[in-house]
Amino acid sequence: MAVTTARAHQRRRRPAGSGAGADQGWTETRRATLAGYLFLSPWLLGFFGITALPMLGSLALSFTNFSGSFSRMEWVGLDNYRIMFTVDPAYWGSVRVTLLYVLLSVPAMLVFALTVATLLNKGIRALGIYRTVFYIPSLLGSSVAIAVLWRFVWGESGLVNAVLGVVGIDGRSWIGNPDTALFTIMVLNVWTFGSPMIIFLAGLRQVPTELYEAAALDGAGRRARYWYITLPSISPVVLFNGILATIGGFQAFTQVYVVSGGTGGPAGSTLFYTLLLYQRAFTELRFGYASAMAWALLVVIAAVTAAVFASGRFWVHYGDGEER
Amino acid sequence: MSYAGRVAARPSRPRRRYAAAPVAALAVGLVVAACGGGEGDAPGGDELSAEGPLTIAWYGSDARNAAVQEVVDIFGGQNPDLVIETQPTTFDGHWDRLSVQASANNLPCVPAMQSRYQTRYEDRGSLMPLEGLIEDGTIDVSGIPEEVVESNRNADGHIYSIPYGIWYEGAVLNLPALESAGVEAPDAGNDWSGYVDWAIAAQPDLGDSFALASQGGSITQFQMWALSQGEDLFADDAAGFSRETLVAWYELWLGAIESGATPPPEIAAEFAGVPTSESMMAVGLTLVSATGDNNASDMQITLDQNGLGAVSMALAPTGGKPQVVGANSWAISENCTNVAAAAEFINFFINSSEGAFILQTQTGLPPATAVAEEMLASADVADSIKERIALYNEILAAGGYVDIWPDGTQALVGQFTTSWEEVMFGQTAPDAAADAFIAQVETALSGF
Amino acid sequence: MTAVAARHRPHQVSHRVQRTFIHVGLVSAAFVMSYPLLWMTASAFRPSEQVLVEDSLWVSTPTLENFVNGWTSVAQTSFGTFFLNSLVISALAVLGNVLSCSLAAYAFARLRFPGRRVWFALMIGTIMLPYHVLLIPQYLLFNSLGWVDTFLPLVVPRFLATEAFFVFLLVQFFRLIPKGLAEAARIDGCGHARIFGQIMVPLAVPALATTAAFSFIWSWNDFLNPLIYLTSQGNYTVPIGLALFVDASGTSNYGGLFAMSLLSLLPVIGFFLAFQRLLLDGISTTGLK
Repeated sequence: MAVTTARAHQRRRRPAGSGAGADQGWTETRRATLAGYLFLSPWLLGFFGITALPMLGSLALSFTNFSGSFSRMEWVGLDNYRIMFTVDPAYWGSVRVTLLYVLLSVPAMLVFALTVATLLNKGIRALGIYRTVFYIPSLLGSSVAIAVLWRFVWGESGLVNAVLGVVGIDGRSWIGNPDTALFTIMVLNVWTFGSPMIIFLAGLRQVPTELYEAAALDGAGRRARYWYITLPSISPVVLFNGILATIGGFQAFTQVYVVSGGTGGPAGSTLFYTLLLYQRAFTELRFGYASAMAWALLVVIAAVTAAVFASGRFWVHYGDGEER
Repeated sequence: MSYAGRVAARPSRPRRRYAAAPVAALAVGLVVAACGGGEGDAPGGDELSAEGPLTIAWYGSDARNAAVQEVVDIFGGQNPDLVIETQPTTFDGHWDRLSVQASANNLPCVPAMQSRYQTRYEDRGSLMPLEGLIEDGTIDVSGIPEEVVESNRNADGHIYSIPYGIWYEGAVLNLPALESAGVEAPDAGNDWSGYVDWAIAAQPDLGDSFALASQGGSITQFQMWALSQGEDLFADDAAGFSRETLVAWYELWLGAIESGATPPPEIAAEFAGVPTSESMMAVGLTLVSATGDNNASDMQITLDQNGLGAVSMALAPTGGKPQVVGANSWAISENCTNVAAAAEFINFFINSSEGAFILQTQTGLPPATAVAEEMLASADVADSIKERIALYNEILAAGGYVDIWPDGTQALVGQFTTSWEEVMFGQTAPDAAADAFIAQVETALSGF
Repeated sequence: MTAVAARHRPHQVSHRVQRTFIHVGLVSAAFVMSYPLLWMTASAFRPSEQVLVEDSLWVSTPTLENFVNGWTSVAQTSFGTFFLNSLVISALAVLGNVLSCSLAAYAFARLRFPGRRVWFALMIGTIMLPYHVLLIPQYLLFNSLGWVDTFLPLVVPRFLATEAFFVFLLVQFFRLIPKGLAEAARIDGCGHARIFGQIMVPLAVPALATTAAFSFIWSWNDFLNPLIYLTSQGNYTVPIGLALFVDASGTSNYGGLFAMSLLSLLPVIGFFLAFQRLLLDGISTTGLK
């Protein structure tokens, strides 16, 4: 019942009378096109001037052995890609680490963020303070101080073990053991859930209240309201957070760089893909090779993102009647 | 969604087959954009350029940077018409920034170099050959022992970097703590297996502390081990050490862990990336280790805080063979427009004893012998510094030399640690790990 | 009457119990989340040598020396200069992002023009490449423009909507706004500029506030770009200044690091709190004509 309420609401909003005057429709299209490109012009300028050219440049570099000096650069064709996939001993390890991280920590972080945002949306007192408190960790997440803090929490004589000790469990060095070091980085990602949480909160705030009122009148309980109104209404935001958290997960760098000191953790257990890329680029000065790594990553991310976007047809509902 | 919509929704991926031409054009475009500066001959005397500001870049922490800045200011005071811009930053940041600047031929006039990093800039034509300036006396290196200056000579015959600070790694021992445990200090003429034997024998008397910190992941100490076996890290195009040497190294430290003389793997890994003031020596967890000579004072501060003893340096365990040292140097970039000022600055910096006293060896030990002697004789210099200078003189006298690493090898530092950690945690057998690491060395040396 | 009242009373009680549980849960979660930060705050007031030794929150010998020497200990400039630089750059980043990204987002979300889907896909595509490999090509670009050692490479891109994250964010939020309002305005003869300025923007205030807050924070915390482009010390930003406290190539100053980290959190939190109010006000879409 509540489903039809929401859906019907959307259907009612679709503009009527689209055939009122063909002339008006045509000028409408011209106006929209002109307006479209006008509004888009800053982005177009930025895209072509600042982003696209360097991106194509890096693609070009991925077919060379560029290592800091253009005069000594040579074309190597697909050699970088070949080395990457078949010869580089650290490559597939970094893929594995990154995939694990994306599959486990991204959903965990999003669920956590949505839960807290939902709780905070209930209009409790001191909302502002809670929101700030929950957001502050993500401010620190990329700073130098986090390395010290994280060792302080997860080290052999750290906070977590102190707490476990109270309950009688003998903790180990979480950050020093290759089996658990990645886990601490995942927790760090969840700890810095502030940004998605804020975005969820903003989305929750934009859900039209009359939807809730209508549903309540229809007799829908709290859980039904959440499931059939709230979630579908914020589904564009869920899509947004999901995609960006995934892309961010594939590209995770700063936190793991700071916590592992740029090494990739004990025995390469936190050697993320982008960290390996950074090492190849800046420590070994193999920029051409690193560019190849970057473009391989882009292809994977693009594929995953396209898949998620495509799946959006089944679960994302936009208020403007479009299903794309 | 319409088919057209779905197709358009896919992010456009360049088709490699057809992209070769425009991509090549793009690459050419990048080369043109980056064009500038070729490789010049060594300049001399009158033809030095003298336009524009003098830009100097170096690395360090706050305290160190402030000291260098003071010395720069003295130079500035002597040259009031000169505009000087200083660009200090963190160690890693320095190299990141130089890499980017080098590719655009936009390096600062005087970039700081270091013995493990300089070859990459020298080989890429980013730096200016300096032997002309040395020969005609514009940069006076007569006070520096000749072998130290010569160590900086690149394989192509030019000298690009002039050392202003020497550093080395040696053994560091907490003698008071050893004494109070009734344990005799290890013999300085040992090699690492001797140290491990000592540690195993001493451990039962040491209670909670460990006798020795594992050096398994330290490529510098492995180099000392290789030197003690008559080998070295690098030899022209291949590894300078044998597989047996590396396997013996891994097994040496595995044995140490097993016997409890060094901390267990997890603890060692936890302390792996830690700054000196938090290291195992600094918190009294271990009583003997190896470290850079300028780190001892950092350790001392933390030790003093907790009354856990005092550290002093000794020679690196090379079993009596000559050990290697590292150097921090100044270079002049090819794209520098004020070479005259740059050369004057370098000349001032390496010969100034006033500067050396301000720096208090934060940037390394002064390579000029006269300056070092002055510091040894002065009452204003801390004892720990004098000890380090004395030890350096010992190293030099025993045939020590500055070890310049080949291009592309800097990454091996981290790779060596990772390789050891895999062995330490039982993920790889020593044999396999040794083979894998040697393969990495050869990849790094083969150049690209 | 009594039946209705009877139905409400247990509801009220369980409601309050639920509230308490929520509060307890939130408070404990907040405490756990904040402990590392509370420890860092406490450490900022401890003498520098003690920082790594004590792990409790109690400060036995509080001192302000870390703040004093952290502020002044930087060679040639003070931390105040770093703050100022960061503030200028971040404020401009906010302005640029809010303006340019909302314009682009409106085009993507509401205007139908040929090529829209292709541009949208390309826009999303720009997020997918790790920025490290763009560093050198972009540096070459900005160097040829002569913009090195100025704020320009850090600020100008913001005015050209290069941070696709915000464009995408605003697109999603614009699309949450029911189409009917804009339709009605168009039938009344409003041009797109007016629709944008007077309908879309006011309704998307939570999203714009989010954009502003995040722009500020990310720009404030950016380390690599200022490192590469800002070479004179007088231009350095806060993250670079912080990194100089604990560098392996010199004596570390943890007290200074924590004290200055704390100080550098203040503008960010302040900015965040200021924009929270805008996030707080949800907007009902009824009655808006």
